[in-house]
Amino acid sequence: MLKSNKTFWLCIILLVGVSVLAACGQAAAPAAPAAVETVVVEKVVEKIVEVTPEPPTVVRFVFAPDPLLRYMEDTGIIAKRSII
Amino acid sequence: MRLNAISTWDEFAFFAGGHADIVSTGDYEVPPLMEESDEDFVIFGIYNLGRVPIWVKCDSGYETIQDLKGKKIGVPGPLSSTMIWGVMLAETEGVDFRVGSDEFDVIVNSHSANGELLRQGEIDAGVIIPEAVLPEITSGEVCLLYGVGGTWEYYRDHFDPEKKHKGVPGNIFLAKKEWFEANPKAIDFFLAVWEEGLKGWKENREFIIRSYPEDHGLDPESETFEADLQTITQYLTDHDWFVDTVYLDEEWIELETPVFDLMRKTNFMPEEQENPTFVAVPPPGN
Repeated sequence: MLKSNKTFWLCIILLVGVSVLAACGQAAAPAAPAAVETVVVEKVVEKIVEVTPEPPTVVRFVFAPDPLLRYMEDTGIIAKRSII
Repeated sequence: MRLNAISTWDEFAFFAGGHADIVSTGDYEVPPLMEESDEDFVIFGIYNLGRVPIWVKCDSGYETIQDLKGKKIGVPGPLSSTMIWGVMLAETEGVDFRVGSDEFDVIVNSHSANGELLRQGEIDAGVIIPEAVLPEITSGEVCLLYGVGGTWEYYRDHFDPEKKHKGVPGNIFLAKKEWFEANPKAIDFFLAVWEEGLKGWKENREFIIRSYPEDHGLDPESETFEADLQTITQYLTDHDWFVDTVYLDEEWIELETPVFDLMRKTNFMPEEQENPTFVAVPPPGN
């Protein structure tokens, strides 16, 4: 009976030991590398662009008062004249 | 493309201050501008010729500048027509005609003021635009010294062996070299506009004079308006200072260049200073 008890406890200790070893073995095993998944989200944005015409080139011409300038203005050869 | 034309009697300062791309001035006035500025300039067109004569009273007996030594002469300023008269008369007559000269009592006033001073006998002669002495031209009270209607006629008669060159322009078109080279289309446009204006002048001279009487020294309310109109129209026909085209060509440039040698010789331009740069822009289709 005593022998049976001894055997029983030995079996229990053995089982516990195997279980502990198994648990330790799992903890000691290297962790599997984490998988990084990059998700690219493409976003289409509608943007309204105003197309402005190229501004006209303005030629700035300075001249002493001259009747021909006035004639050119009055006949539309020159659009506008400034007097300073 | 648009032309913004600005009228002012102080056009040089306006241009020098960077407020304009193109200025009109005498080609003989460009060396002083070059002297005072670090910029390079290009003369690329022509509008009219040196048109300001020396007026004296017809009964004064003055026939040459020698007769006016020690006399009071009204001028519009140290540059412009005063300067080119000084350049030419230094060579032909050996006189020192300029503001500050010891040989003449040269005083500076506006053209209209000098016209009035000549009228009143306060000055003996004047470098004056004809519009400012129009009534006296009509009445025959004032006469042209040397019989020339402006500096361009004196230059033609005394400095061009063939007596044909239409030079010493009172108004060329000038731009800074950098702007000129960057804006060829603007240059073409500008010259085309002025060519059109010049064509208008040639075809409608009397109409333009009649339409803008004040610009030609005419008083539309005056009883002598029609007579004065005839006088200035005739004067502008006899001494037409407008060129045939605004476009320069190489032959004209070659004939004009000796002006700057003359300026150096007569001490109106530093010996070491270079000539202004002329560029013959071809007319459309060439």
